[in-house]
Amino acid sequence: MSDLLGNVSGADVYLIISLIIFIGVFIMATIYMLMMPKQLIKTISELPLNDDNNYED
Amino acid sequence: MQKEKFSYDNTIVRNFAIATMVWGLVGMLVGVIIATQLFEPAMNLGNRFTTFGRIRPLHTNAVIFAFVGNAIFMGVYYSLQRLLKTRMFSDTLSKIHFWGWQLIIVAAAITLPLGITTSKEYAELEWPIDIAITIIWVVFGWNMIGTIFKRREKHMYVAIWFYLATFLTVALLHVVNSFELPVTFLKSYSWYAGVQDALVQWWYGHNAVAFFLTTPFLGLMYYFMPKMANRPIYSYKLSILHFWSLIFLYIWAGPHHLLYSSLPDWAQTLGVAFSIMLIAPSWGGMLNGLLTLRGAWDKVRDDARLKFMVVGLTAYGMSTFEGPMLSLKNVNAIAHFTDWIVAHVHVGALGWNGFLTFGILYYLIPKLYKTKLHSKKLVSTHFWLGTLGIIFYAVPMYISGATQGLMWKQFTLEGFLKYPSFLSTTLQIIPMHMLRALGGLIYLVGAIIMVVNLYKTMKAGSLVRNEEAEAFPMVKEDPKMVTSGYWHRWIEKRPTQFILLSFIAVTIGGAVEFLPTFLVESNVKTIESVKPYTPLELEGRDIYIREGCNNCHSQLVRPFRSETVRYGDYTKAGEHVYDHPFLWGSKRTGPDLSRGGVKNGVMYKSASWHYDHMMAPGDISTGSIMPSYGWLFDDDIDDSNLEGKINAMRTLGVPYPKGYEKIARQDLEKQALKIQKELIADGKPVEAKKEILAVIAYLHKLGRDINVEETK
Repeated sequence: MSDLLGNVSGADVYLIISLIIFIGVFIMATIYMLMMPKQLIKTISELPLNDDNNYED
Repeated sequence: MQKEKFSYDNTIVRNFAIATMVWGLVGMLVGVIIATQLFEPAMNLGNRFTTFGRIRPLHTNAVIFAFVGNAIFMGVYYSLQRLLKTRMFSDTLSKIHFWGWQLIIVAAAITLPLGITTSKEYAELEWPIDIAITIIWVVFGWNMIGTIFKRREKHMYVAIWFYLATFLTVALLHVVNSFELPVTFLKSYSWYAGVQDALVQWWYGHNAVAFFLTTPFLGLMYYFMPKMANRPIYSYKLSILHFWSLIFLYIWAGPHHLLYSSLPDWAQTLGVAFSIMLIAPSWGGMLNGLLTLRGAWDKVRDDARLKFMVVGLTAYGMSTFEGPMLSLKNVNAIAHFTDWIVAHVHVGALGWNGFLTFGILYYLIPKLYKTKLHSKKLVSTHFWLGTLGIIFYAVPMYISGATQGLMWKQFTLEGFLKYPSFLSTTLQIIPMHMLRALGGLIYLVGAIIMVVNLYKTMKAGSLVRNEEAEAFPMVKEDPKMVTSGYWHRWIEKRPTQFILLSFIAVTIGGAVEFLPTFLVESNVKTIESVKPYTPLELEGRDIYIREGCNNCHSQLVRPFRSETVRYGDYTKAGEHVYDHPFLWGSKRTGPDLSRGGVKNGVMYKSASWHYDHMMAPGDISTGSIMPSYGWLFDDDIDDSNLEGKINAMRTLGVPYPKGYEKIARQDLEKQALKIQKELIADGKPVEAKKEILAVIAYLHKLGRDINVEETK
């Protein structure tokens, strides 16, 4: 890796920061996903099916 | 609580649907024409407005921004109102958006054949049109976000997330990539130069694929697939995970368009790594769509609309697997600059974008007109023609691409290039290009059948302009949900914060890619011997841009023996520091030209050769598919803006001495006279100041300055 980065001093910092940010976002999205209550998921995922005119609550 | 009565605006959806169909046919027709030009030069029609170099951008722009663009707006305006249980925020904004977008398309259709272009792929339109695009795009976003704020449905369905990410990212990409310094009303120079311009361009270019051709269509898929299959999406959880990873990963992958170029290695590696990672979220989306049909596959047998959706999703899966494979350096070494890339994008465009659009059109039109499809049989005919068209298009292009890649690299046992003449490869693949054009034609015929079918459907029904609906107003808090305070609901109910977060996600990606190349001076080594273009060369370069030469000729020699033997020394970043814009190109329909000015090099051709070749390429290189450029011999160099051009270049950092703009014209005439004399001495009559002189001067400049050691 250091060979590839040899032509830019300090570029590895950018790469490490980017990796941390990416993993952070990914973990957050996963936690977010896992924490969603089942009922809520069901409600939301049925939204496209419940938008017709005859939609009754 | 009382339900509120309101209506959905169907007129705007219908308008975008008609625009989708009309521009779709136009874009595909131009595609078929340019496909035939690649085996029959006479199809360039012998005039400057219809040469491949000028109308290839017309095809790409028409298909991407007119056909796919209008399809996106059609689907968004339909689904957004229904998912949020409200009419669009403002009918006036909807109308401004619709007519503004169509005007931009018309402006593109006029300016591109006229040779008014910035040369940057998928961003060819000149600065006044760029500004118009920005304004109309903001109108779209304003209307969409306004609608989100006045919604009656608390939860934002995942499709809307995709729409929002599309709006934000396209805005960012368009603005950053369109930084250009105007010289006149219809001429500008890119703010960036050389390798930086290339980096910005392909950050834009790749993400135009991601955020114009992918995310909005995933949003549409997440709405229309459940509608058509009449069941919810397979996994809503997967859609969340795939959304965030997709928008975050995509933004980094751009540099895979510049492998083996003079872009710093670390940036190339970053692009490859993120491209490979992209397989996961892309396939997440595809599988989520396909698995929605679990237990309902019998419907696919009877419903051709679902067939379109299934093949569309499969094409998406194939091209998003192929993309990462193409980004591997060893695959890229063979595939880059060849027809393979064209096959790749068309599997995406014809399969994913085209088929999803067709499926949605067949679903929407009968609904909007409260009637049944005119003919289900014709839908099925269209489906099979479309599928055959894709196969006839893609398979020959894969064969052609592999042929090019291998023939260009083949050495004999003695160590010489086996096919030293570029033309031998061109001639070898002509049958494949014929089959490709046939594939395109079959696909177009299918689309024409669709338009006829939908026109008859419209005639049979009547448009429900305002569809009555009712829904409860949005309650502040649902007591059932309050007990468990999940933070995702915090995001979901706050569109502004959500927009901000997505914006941060994509901006970080862009910034990390750019900053090092822009800030670290050592990234672009300057080469002392590289001099700015002379006024005549600059005018020649502008003619090169006008004629779209970069659509067929690259100016980037990769560091492979097969390329350095064929073309000359490989490309260094420092050569291009005065190139506003960069002209590396992305496809070699003709040979690379970046060493055309190296006098002792293999690519050097005399002024008199260029004279004959531009006049009648087929006479000089038998079988050449390049059209004749006769008007270069008739038209005078338009140097009326020379002062402005020199000043603009100086503003951008090109070291022309102070006051040079005043004497630039003399220099131009002097250099033109020299080339004119040379030509006349060779028995080639040419009048002073003709455009051909500038073109020759420019071609002879390419690579001339770097025949010395690189210095820091």
